[in-house]
Amino acid sequence: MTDKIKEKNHKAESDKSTASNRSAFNKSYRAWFIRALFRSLTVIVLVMIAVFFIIRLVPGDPAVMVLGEHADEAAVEALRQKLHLDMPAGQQFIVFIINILTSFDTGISIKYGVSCRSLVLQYAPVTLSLILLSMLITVVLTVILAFGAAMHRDGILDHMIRIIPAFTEGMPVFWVGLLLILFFAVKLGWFPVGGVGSGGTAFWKSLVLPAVTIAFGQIPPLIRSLREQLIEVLDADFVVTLKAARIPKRQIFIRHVLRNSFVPTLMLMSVNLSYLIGGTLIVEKVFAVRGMGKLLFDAISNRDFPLVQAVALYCAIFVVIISLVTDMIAHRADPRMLE
Amino acid sequence: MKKLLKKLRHSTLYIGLIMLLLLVIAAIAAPYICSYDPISQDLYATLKAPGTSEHILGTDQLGRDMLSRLLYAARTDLAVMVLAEIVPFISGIFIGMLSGYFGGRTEWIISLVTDTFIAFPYYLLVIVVAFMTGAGIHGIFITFMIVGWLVYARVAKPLTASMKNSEWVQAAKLMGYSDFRIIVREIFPNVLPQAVVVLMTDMAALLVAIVTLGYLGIGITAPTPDWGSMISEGQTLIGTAPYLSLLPGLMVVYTGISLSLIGDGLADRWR
Amino acid sequence: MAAVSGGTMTDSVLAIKNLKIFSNENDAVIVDGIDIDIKNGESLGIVGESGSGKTLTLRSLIGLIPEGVHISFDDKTDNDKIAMIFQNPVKALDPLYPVVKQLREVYLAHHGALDAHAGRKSIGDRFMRLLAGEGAKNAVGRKKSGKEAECDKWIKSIMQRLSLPEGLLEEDRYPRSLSGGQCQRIGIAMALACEPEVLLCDEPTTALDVTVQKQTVELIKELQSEYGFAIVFVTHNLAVASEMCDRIMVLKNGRIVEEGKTSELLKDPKDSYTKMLVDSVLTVPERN
Repeated sequence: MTDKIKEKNHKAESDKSTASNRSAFNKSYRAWFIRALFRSLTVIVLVMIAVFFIIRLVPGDPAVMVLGEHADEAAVEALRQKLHLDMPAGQQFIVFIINILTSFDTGISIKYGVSCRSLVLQYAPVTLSLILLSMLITVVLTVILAFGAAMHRDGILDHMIRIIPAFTEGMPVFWVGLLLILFFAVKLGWFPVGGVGSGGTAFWKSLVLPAVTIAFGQIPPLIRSLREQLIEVLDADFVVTLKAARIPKRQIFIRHVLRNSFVPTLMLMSVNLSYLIGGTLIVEKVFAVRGMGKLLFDAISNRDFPLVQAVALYCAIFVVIISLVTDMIAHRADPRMLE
Repeated sequence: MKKLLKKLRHSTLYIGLIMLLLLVIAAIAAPYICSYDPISQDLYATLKAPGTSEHILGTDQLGRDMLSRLLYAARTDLAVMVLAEIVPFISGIFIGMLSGYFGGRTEWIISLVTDTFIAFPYYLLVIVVAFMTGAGIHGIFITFMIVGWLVYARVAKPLTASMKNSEWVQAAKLMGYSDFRIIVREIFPNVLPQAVVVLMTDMAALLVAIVTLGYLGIGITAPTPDWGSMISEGQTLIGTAPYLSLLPGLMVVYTGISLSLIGDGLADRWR
Repeated sequence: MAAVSGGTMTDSVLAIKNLKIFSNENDAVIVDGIDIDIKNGESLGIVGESGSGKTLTLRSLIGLIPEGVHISFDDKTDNDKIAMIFQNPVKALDPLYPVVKQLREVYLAHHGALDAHAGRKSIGDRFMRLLAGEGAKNAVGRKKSGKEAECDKWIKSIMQRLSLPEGLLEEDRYPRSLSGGQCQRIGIAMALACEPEVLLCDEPTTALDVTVQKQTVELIKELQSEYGFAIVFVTHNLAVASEMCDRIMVLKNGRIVEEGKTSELLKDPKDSYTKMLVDSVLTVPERN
């Protein structure tokens, strides 16, 4: 997505009719981008280090966990050696780093015995689809409802939007999920009670309730933020100028109002995404969806170091990429942020 | 009608306080109100729906009285919620104030740490620590001490930074007051109101986290009643006995609403 | 619904009778029944302190009432061809839009050529480029439609006329990198793009430096004689108003306390408030 934007930028530069002040903008943008990239990588590295050491603080010997309490001493010892658990932590760390850099893998899962990377790749698509679906629902509903509230200030919609967050804030994610299951799956039978369907429609259908559950928690604060921004912008002088020039309202909204309003909300949404990683864990448990969340939970309870690291790495990368992308969009839309 | 709505909005603080108070009183008085013990099972009286027997809110699949379970769970959950907030609240405000006041390298380091924590999957950390310390209340306390301060730091920092250059801070500096004294006696009282507003919402979120851990089985464990584990136990019977899961959930929502109202009310008042 | 120019009662290009403006909160009266009648090509000044309701009156004339306020009136002669320029020139422009692009947008919108401007691309595509900070216009290899060529020509000439830096055509800039005076002139250009019969001016000089104020006032007067539009000029500065306008209306607490030809008003103010205004005009002391 961002490459396309950059490409079009270059073409615009060569199109000499009214180019914007591109060269100065691009330069400062590039400088910012490099700094942001660097910072993101630093964060990923820090997260990895933190995860590496923290998981080792959890009491319990993984080899024992895999082979069982009454396993043969020698077998346990052999497994420990195989998993490099006998080496001092520092050495383990070096092996770990080398592994990542060469095969982009954190090792063999202690419990499942296969490459962690393959496990992650196997379970990630479900979780990603879930997140995608919930983001879609979130964005669409947020924009529509916030816009409705801002345009008809003090109307019914507006009041509802101001009151409802007070209710939803206190609702645990899993409880909302259970409610949805109760009404839409058990009583109405529209959606399956849990699990992931196979094949096109069944797959997405089974993800609807979980996605709505996730969206449910995200939407109220986002609407509040967007609505506030919209109101601020709608009252601004330049909107009056545009209206005075008789530009059609729809165009004013899409081209000017929206662009001036969406950035803080976008930022909020990207911060939410980090909590979303945990959110999928719970939602996956509630709806019995076998995705990354469940994988993570099992990995931790099994003291499966490599797997935990793999999942943590995936999460950190995911979050960092999302932050970076949203930052890029925000900085492109609002060049003032570059200063 | 509009006037009624307006009055309602102005009294959010009181409504919230009353709601919370009712709950707290009920929780404290639980041993006196409830005629049943929350853990004793009565296998002859299982799964009684609310209102059908002497058990006002019914019984669960082991015959335990729902009302007492709910109220005793309130004692545990609410107590943990409040106590676990103390350290993060204070430490977060101070870290934020230091970051905002001194700026420069202090701020850079703190913001880098903050970013790392944000990128860290929150529940991953929570679960790991929970396993580390053995499931239970300790885990919650420790985890929250590690990550809970973030919110307060994020509120305190910009406030402090904007106050740093104000006239009365400059005046205090000229009078020779030490930085420490300025921070504690001048800046802190101005940061506190906003922080308290955030505290309300944060407590609601913390309650959700506590209950979530209970749901996942790694929070407050049996036999201590906890709303989260109650919901989890009731999930399998959601079709036939929905009240098992719904009631504890409603308690959480109720608490969350009251805290939220208090927070909104305070925010309006202290604007 | 354009007004009829020439003819008996409707020599007015814009008029309103008994305009009342109320605040939505407890229906407080902000403007208490004023009549305005603007004839073709004249300049009316509305003078008053802040809070007297001048800006709201202008907004009511153009039909862009802000939130929190509602109006009532007995009779209104409307006009589609009204344009307005504002007090804070920088804030009157979209901060995220380069100025020439905004000007172009106004011109094309007014001349009904918006579709050409937009281009025939998918919504998603346009949305992405929108977010990327480009107009939906920058399509590659598209021939420019006739209207766009006209637009370019017009923009070039208007920028020359208003002494705006020609460099903007090559390297468009954002409002914040232009001076207040330049932004104000962009605002004027945008107003002119709408071919107005009436130009409403909401304290356009108040936020500008004193020297720039004079230039702006003179510019507006020149444009008025070139294009022939009527002007309603709102200000708290009686001196500026008298420079600019044939007729002056003095507004206090939402009521017209005095109204008349400029020269007469200044020479012989009848109302005490007007007298006070006239007296408070600071003049440069006589040089010996």
